[in-house]
Amino acid sequence: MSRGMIDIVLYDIDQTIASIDRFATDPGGFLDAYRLTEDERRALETWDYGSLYAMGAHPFLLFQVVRSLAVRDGVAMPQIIEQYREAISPHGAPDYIT
Amino acid sequence: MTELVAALGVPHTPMLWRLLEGDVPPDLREVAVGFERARALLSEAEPDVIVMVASDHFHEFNHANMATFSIGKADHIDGTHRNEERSFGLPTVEMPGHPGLAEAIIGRENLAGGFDFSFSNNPVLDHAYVVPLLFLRPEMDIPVVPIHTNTNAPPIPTAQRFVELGRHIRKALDQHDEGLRVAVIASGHLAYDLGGPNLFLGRSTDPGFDAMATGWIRRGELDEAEMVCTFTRLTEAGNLTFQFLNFLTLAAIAGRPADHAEGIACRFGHEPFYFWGPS
Repeated sequence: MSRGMIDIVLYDIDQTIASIDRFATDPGGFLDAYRLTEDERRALETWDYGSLYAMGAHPFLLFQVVRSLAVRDGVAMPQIIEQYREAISPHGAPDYIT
Repeated sequence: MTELVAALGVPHTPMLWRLLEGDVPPDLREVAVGFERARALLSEAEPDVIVMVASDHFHEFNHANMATFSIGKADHIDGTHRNEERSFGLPTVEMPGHPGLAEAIIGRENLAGGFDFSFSNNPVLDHAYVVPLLFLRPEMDIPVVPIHTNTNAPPIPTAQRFVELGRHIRKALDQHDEGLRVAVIASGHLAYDLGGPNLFLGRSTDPGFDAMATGWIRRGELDEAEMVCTFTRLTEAGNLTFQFLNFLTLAAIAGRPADHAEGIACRFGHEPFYFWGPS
């Protein structure tokens, strides 16, 4: 169980504009610094936030990074909120305790 | 002895900073009035120091290193993190700290009063502190003692522990002998969910909880709040509802029913405004 590590990755992504850019442009390179399971790494690398949510990523941290990437890419907030809601809604409220 | 000149509970929703500039949207007008009232109360109270109780949102603390209760003991304090500038347009701020009063609360050689605080000599405050200060004291000229509570990453302290924290702080203030005038500001949410299935509903995720919780503050019913505010009940109301617990600390510091307590309905649910005059 390493979902605490997912939360640490999410925290590190969101530190600066440079760290967000680095994750957005080279997610594989960014993730090399962390001990993650294959599934966790794949979900992070492909930015499959629905799967990350289902795995128990901290919802607040997850949405914070979703928002930051949307701001970087110029995606309107109502649009990203709808996409996020759609991605997580099949998964209910997973346990996010680390 | 310290004089507690005001205790103010306010929201810190970071989007409010941009939304309350210029033409205020109709659903937020009462929220703007709430901040104006709090600002006037703080100004009239003329505090020498502000003790703040609020929850860092994974800026100073994260899953690699999480403090349960941490006090900022520093002469100088910075505020606003990079991602808050970018996402919410918050300005970076700086303010004086008050290490003497921080030490009265945490202890000097040993931790005081059975409360195992962590500490920081270089606190960098996030929007949970900065947004209330921008609205209530934009001059940033009054020394601040920031107290962080972990309400975001379980295990979260029980409601009872938040009440005990407030009683500990009040006792430390009462025993401090510098004759300071102290105001306390706490920030947090009523029912609120961010990143979970009920994010941005445009209304409260749990109006029943909001009414009940504001009632406890209005009537000073901390025993009742301790009983109801379990992990399960707060989770049902939304993942950020744990930040209501900061107001139990505030109410315990004040030690009596609030002079004014309301949750103002708006797009972010009910925004809490809880005020006490001198106690």
